[in-house]
Amino acid sequence: MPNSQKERNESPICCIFFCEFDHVYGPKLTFQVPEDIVSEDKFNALNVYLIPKKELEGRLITVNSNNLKVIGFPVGLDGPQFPRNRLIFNLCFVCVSAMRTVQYEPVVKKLAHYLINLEKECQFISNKETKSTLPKIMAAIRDQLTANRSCELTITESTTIYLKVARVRPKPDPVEDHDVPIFLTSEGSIVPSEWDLTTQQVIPFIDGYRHVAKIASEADVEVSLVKACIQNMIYYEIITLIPIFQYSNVYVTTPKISNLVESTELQEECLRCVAKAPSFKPNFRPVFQLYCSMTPGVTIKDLCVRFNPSLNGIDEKKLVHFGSLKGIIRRLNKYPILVDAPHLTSIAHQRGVYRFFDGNHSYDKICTEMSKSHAELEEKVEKHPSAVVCWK
Amino acid sequence: MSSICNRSKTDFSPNSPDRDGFLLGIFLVKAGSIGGDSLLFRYPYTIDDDTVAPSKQEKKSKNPFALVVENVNNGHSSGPVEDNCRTVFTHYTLGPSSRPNKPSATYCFELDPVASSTAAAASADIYLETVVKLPDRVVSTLFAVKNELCGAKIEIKINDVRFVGHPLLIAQDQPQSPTSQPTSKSKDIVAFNVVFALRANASHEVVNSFHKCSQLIAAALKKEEDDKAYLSKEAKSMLTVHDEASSPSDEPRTSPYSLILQRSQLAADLKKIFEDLKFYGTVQLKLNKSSDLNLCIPQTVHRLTLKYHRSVPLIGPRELNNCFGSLRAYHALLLLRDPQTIFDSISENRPIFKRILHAAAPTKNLGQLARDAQLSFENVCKATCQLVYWAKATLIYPLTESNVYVIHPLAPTQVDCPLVEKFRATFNNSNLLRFLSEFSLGTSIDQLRNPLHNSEQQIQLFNQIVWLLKHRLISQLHTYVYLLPVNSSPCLTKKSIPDRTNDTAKGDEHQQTFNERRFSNFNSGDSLSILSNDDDVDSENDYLVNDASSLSINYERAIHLLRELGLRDYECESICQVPASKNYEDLTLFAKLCHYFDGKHHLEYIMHHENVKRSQLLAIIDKFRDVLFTCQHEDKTIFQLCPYLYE
Repeated sequence: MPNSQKERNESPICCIFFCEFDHVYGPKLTFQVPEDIVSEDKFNALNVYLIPKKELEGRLITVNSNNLKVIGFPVGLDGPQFPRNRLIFNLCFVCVSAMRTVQYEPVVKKLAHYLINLEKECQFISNKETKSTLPKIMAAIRDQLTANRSCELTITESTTIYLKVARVRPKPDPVEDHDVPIFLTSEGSIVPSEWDLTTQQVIPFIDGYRHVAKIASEADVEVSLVKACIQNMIYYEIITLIPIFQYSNVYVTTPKISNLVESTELQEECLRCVAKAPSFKPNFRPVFQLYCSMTPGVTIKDLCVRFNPSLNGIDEKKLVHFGSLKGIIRRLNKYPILVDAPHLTSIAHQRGVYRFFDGNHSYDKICTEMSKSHAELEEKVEKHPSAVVCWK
Repeated sequence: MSSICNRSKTDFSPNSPDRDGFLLGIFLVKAGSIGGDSLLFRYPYTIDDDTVAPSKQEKKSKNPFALVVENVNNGHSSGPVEDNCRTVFTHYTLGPSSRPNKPSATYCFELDPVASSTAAAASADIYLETVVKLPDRVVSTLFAVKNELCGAKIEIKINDVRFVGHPLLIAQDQPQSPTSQPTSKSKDIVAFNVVFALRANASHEVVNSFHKCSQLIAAALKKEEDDKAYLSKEAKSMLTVHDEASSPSDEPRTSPYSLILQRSQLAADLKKIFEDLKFYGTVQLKLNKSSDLNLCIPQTVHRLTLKYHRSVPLIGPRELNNCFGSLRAYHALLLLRDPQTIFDSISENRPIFKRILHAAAPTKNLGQLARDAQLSFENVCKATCQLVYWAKATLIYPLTESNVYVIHPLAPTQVDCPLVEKFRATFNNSNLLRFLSEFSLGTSIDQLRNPLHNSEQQIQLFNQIVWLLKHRLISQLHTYVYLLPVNSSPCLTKKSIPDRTNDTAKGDEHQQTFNERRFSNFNSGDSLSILSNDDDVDSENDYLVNDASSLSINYERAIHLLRELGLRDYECESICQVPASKNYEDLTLFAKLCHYFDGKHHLEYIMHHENVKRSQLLAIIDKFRDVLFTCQHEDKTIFQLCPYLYE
């Protein structure tokens, strides 16, 4: 999830104000709720961004200066009924300068469109009487959005304002056939009826072991649809992807392993997660020993033979899941490569699996693509004189 | 949530090629009392033909951000803004045809770096167009800010482009009598602003890096203006060109900015700033031939040194400060370019850098480097941080026989990676990927060395490893040691299935003691010395039993010795169960090193600080293996410079 490192916290809505171009006074701060957040001076300093030149109307403008972060969507309407033939206004959200505000941008924009429609339908803004109800509306919007991130407000008989603050997250990476989705939240907290039909059909097959291609065939849903709804669920942070569990997998520890020793909470969570049976919680020592023994060249099978985790009440699959999810271990993927091929195209023209030996395809990918077992592929690799394997 | 980047190609985020091109444009704006606000210079002022994608029409239809298009739909944007919850949802569930990035598209990026760069350029155009098409008068009103906003950062985001600048006021000559001689002497410039246009999806830290650049440029310009009225002079010549261009003429109109570029040195400098920051992440120039300007966008320079890697998390000031905070004498400086090139690019403290660059070698740690360069360690550290900050060098652990390396998880392994060819050219036809595959299972230099090889081949091997390290294709695994004694309270071992509550309590207790111990150990430097002091010969003899073979130590004494380290009773007992604890020498060495066994110090650290040999250390770890766990991962300091984990 690039660019998401240390996401800043979402800002509250400090204030909502309505400003307009008054044909006598010029840019004017008409209403604000609560009062006295934006002083007259501050407004005047920023008014070029709030009541901007015509070219910038109809555009989301966020200005961050002077310890004030203001999101607005300036609107300009033409018509002979307006003084100077133009009505210019902007309904802005004021936020904390150092915090995240992207989540409000669609809301501000949508709100501006509601106001445009209201003006067109019933002269809501040009009529002084209806305009004076704005502070009440703004206060209600602010209160409702702060309380439950959504807002429903009836303005006229035909117009009801619906707003929702969606969390903005980075776009999930594309999903591959060999990825395994796993729930991040407990499965019980997911209400199938909240989801679309495809997702409802896919959810029962997500167990942390089945990979995408397998889910698709078992759920009888097209692979690309499965991928799309998995990607959607990743966006909502309900599931994440992990590599396929195989006993031939090799994992290594990352610098995050020290968190496991330092944080009691993480330790407790770990022991709860890796237990073979929920009634018996394993000791930390053998769990940690297993993680520490994950070094290059040591497969899960080797670990099982050496330490017999089930004797200590540890489920090795859950152990690997927990480690991968928390980033304390990482999988070493195998990439078979033909090194003596003169050019890339000559690899693409190879027969059978060898055409994938270009250093871009991992064992998992080739195996799912060609429906081959790991061992079969291994044999192919060993047979070819100029094939090498990079683990990374 | 943490995510780990060890997945296959999919972790190559579709956004990542774009990340290298945060910068979209640069503007210089002045606010004036008489002439009003005006845009003095902007770059780029046209969309260069080279960067325009093949079909202009097609691009137009794709462009949701162009100024002419109103009320854009975000459905196809790659920007962070999504219309609302429902749009997002449909956006991801409509099926493959509507998905913005099909896997095959990502695939192209990776297979072919050339294709990826053109794709990035094409997608950059969408934003670039927005910036270039912004009318001059809009720019001038936006950025010629009111006086009360001067002297602080200003950030304006318009749709998907973010502008950041640092406006400054210029001191007027006679502020007390502004009306005295308005035309002749007093300056027309009240304030000015150097603004960068960035993609809105650039992270907060990247924006701050650009803000810092803007601030530095503004400070240098202000100094030149105060000293020599440089900005006024340049502004005047730029405005003259603008006036000429706006006067009606029959000639085909050329952009006034291309003329300004020819006439004004400041404009040329701004162009250089834009280009260098965009393509190299750094810029060095002398403003008005006198003020030094050294600017750097750490995120870009560091990304450029890793340009063939898959999406490496951004390395910004925070990561670099973490790295510099834990810089130790055992780290080594690895120059990423040849010393002369680096030296030529340095303008300050040249004598110090000259000595350091001359003496630096991948086998020398910073301590040795300081000795060889005859400089203080502090100076070497400072210079090292500077070199690393500017991505002219990186940090490694000095090359030794026993270093274990693995392939970096994000290292490129595709056969058509340009590095393959580069490696072949550098090391007479050696194959990079074949060599790289040797590190698959974690290999030490020792293991790679063929005893039959002659010295020339040995040197080649050494050079090849240095080459891999320079390109960060391999990373070193260090061994960390954890002390984890067996918690064998008799009451617990007897119970076949301990009940849950009891067990929880035990876990807490264990953790508590572990923390306590670590805490006490951090202040225990003196307690260790006391320990060794009062081990004088007389008292020793009371406890030692003179065995036939070696000195051994009795149980009580051993417990006593361990307890003084702040260990809990059960921990002491557990350690004393280890056969080696009977041996006095082993136990004292163990006690001496005990506080390093917290997983924070790797073997090399312990060797460096306690002056023990690797063989000694390995022997003691092996002897006490019942209570010690070892694990391998990267050095945390070096890891900051080539990370693969996302927070």
